[in-house]
Amino acid sequence: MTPRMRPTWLALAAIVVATFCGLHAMTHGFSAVTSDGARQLAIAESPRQLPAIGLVDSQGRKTDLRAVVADHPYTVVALVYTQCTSICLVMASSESFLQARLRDAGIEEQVGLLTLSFDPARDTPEVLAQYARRIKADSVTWTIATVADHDDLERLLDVFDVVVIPDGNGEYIHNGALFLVDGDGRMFEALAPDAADLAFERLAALVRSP
Amino acid sequence: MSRAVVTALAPGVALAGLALLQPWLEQRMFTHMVVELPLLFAIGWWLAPVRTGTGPAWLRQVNALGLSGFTLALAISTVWMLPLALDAAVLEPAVGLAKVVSVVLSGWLVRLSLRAASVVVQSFFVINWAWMTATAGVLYQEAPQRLCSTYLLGDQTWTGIGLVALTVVVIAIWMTLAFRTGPRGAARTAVNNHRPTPLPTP
Repeated sequence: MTPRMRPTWLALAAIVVATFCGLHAMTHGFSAVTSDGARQLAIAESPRQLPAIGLVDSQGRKTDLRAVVADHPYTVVALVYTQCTSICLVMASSESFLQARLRDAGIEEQVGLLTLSFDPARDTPEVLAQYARRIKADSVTWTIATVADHDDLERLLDVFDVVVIPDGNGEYIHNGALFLVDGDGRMFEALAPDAADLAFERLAALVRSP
Repeated sequence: MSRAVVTALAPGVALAGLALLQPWLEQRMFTHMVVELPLLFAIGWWLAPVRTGTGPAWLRQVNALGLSGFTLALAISTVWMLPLALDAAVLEPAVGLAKVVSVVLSGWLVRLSLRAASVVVQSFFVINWAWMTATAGVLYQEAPQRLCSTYLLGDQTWTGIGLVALTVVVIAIWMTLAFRTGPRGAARTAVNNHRPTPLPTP
């Protein structure tokens, strides 16, 4: 190593180490390159507590996020808007699949389903009721609701790390996941929108040996 | 206004213009990655005109053969190819600012480093970058899932095509620059670059 090159080698080493550490931190140890993947890992590493947020359900009843999840030992939460023609359909069919599987397994009383709309302006209780009929939601185990106070929407999206961007044509660009929450309002896992089978396995295992 | 003043101010004006267009550019993944990022890089490139040579003394000291400059620029480029970094740049102003600063810096560094590097060193970094970008481009086209929370799937496909096209353009530009003087000229440049430069006096 010539003395003239020494500062360059040192700088190079610093850049390589900094890049490695930076990428390691950003990607949760090189295991997530997407925001959804990173969120799943972040929630698995440190579960989050859901706050009390006022909701109104498809039957027009006032309720609360914490109260809804307290109804069952476990709840699967999905955030959608009913006009959506893309990823929400995937989440709705995932929850629909879960409703059938949980019933078949005889554990429907242990696991509730909760669909939350982030479009309270259009998704009024009447619209949510139509939606519930369309997806054949069983009102005992599957709650479909939206925020009672539109000002709470931001807080709701923040807790779930859901990004919603209006696309200018009345639709939204957004992400999603199947969030697993326990009866104390602790969100301990976020699975991909189409990972209903995985969600069932996790929940069935938890219900059988909590 | 004198020519020198205009030259000095022009990149800043271009950057301000880009800032005004930012909301529009970042609405789509394609314009964000294939238009905005290369334009920021170009502004950085513009900040290193011929008279700046291989850069200020402090940089020359730690950037022999352009090694550090190229490596840092490659690292910056890698970060902004990650879907989660792109999402964060759209949603968090601080990350967005970091993106602008780092990509402009990488443009500046690459132009200065090209002058300090032999064709062999240049080709190592340029081909590595091209390989990485083209691979990302192909992955973006093939990924069945949306990778960025803020962008749509169809947009992702177009971005993939755009990244592959960008790779081809960059390779063409680099080959034109590197072999402009012919292989012998390029070799001569490399020899010149190996000549020890006197260390700056404080």
